[in-house]
Amino acid sequence: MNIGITAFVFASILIFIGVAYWTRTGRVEDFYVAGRSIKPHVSGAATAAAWMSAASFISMAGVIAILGYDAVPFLIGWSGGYVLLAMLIAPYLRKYGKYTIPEFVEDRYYDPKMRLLGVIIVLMIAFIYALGQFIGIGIALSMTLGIPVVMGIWLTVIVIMIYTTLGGMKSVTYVEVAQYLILIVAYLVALFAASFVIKGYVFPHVQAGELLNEIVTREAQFGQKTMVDPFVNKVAGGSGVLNWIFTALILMVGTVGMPHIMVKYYLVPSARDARFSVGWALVFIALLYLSASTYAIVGRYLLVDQLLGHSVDQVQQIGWARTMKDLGMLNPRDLNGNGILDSFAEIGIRKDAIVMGMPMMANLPWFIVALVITGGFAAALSTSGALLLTMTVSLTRDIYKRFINPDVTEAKEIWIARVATVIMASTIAFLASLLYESGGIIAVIVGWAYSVSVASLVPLFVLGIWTKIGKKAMMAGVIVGLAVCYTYLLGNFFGFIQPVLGLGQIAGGGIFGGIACFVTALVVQTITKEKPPEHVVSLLDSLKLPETPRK
Amino acid sequence: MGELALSNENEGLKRFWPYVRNVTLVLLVIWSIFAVFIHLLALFDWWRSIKILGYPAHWIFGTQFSIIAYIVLIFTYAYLVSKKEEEML
Repeated sequence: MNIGITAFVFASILIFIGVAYWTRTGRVEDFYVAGRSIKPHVSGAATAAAWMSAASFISMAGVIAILGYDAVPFLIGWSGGYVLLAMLIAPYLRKYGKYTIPEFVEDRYYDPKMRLLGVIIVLMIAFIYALGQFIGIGIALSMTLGIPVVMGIWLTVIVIMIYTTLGGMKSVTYVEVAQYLILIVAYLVALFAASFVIKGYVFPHVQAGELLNEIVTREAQFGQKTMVDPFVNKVAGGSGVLNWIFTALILMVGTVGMPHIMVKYYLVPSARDARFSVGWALVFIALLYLSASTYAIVGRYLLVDQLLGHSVDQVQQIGWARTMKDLGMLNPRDLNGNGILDSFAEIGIRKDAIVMGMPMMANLPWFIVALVITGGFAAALSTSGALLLTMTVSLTRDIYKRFINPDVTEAKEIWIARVATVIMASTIAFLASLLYESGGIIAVIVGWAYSVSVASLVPLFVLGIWTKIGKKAMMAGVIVGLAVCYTYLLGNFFGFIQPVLGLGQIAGGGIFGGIACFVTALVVQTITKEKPPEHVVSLLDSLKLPETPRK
Repeated sequence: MGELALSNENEGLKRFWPYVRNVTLVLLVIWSIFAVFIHLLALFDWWRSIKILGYPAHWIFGTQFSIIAYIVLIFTYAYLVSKKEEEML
């Protein structure tokens, strides 16, 4: 165990708990929607932290480093969706102005059963998403404390439970801003330092083209597909140009229906602020996303330079390679028996290990290694906190308070939210441990949440805000969409369903589930010709009116 | 007063909503270029052989230019709709 690195991680935990304690609140409006007083750029930074999870910080650059151009859909998919969010959903959600996502679903579709359906969908999406986060935290702690990843996942449950139950949305929002600052500083310092050490680059984003060409030339010598070759690798169980395009599209459209992001637009004072807040969120996200491909190039260069063309024995003499092998992150094998490692399959590095391991590979000072591990920890914690809060708010406000005990006191409601958080966090940690053992990578696991979102929450909101569709049509659409989506996701993951048109789990589950949902909803609407009641039409019209600017 | 309020709301819907809808539509068309169509060019050798700052064109559009375009689109939308909103009130 490295004392310095461990101290960095624990110092960050103290900062987060300190900020949460400092901004704690007893008011219900603060607890659920931060008093609707968060400024657009602050909301943008908090959204960026909630958004940039373990998948973005730990996994994305690693996936690009190994799969090259074929992993770019994660990059454009997780950013392009914000355009749709800004134009189709965010300002209308803010104008509507309630507390939770299922509340809107019940009001818009004038039926308490639709609220229940909304809760189920929110839980499904947030639950799958959280699985990826817990694996990320396990990796971060594994590298910090030198313990197995699964043990890291379980140790973290306690920290997250303290963090999420201490304060409501107001505390979580300000903690997320602190987490954003830590994670972005960590990412950029590591990238700039490694680029400078390796090649003397001052601005690697502009200069790393030369490094990319060097990698391509070297890989071509070994007869391998290179980093820039398009549509050659398997991504999320599929391959080819259609899988590439549809994976990106599903991630974009799925962004619109991410519940822990949608609730952020309840927090700002007006619809105008909601529009600009989405822009600020993407600016803050872009600081990392525009750097991810450069990080990937540097990481791949280090692997190519230090491992490709060397024997297994030579690799085992390298200090960082030995450490990674001991942690189960690296498994070099001479599969074709030619005496050297001549492909990434033979190098056998886990994609999720590249970002956290890159400072070690570049032989950077220990405090940069510590900073990156702290950044990865902050990224996974921030998203986990947002997801757990979204799930527990849905359970307590949309289920317990709405259907079981409408007269519950505020103190008891918060107590029930804490119990729900403990149960939820423990269940997710257990499943995350199983998934890590079976080799699921974070970006792909998180990608499943987007497929489910496209097949359910996105049509529920887009058709709900932009059309006058009836509740029967929408309910039928969502149920059919989810059935098709899950059949494809699980069937493809467990090998029962072969990729259709080359589409993997994320692309196929989302496309087929989304189409099934839209088509079923529109066919049922055509048959039933159901019209929403007058008060719902008035609600929809009110969302489309100009809003008085705030003083 | 009630009739007047209703009339103002209808007027608002008639003037504001079509503008918002048209701006959204136009920007979504531009978005689709950076989200989908520009990346299909990666199928062609001539596109991949173009170098910008030393990077192949398909790489730099996929990893940098598309994301910058998304930011510009969101702020353009927010500015145009908010400006119209202020004009109407």
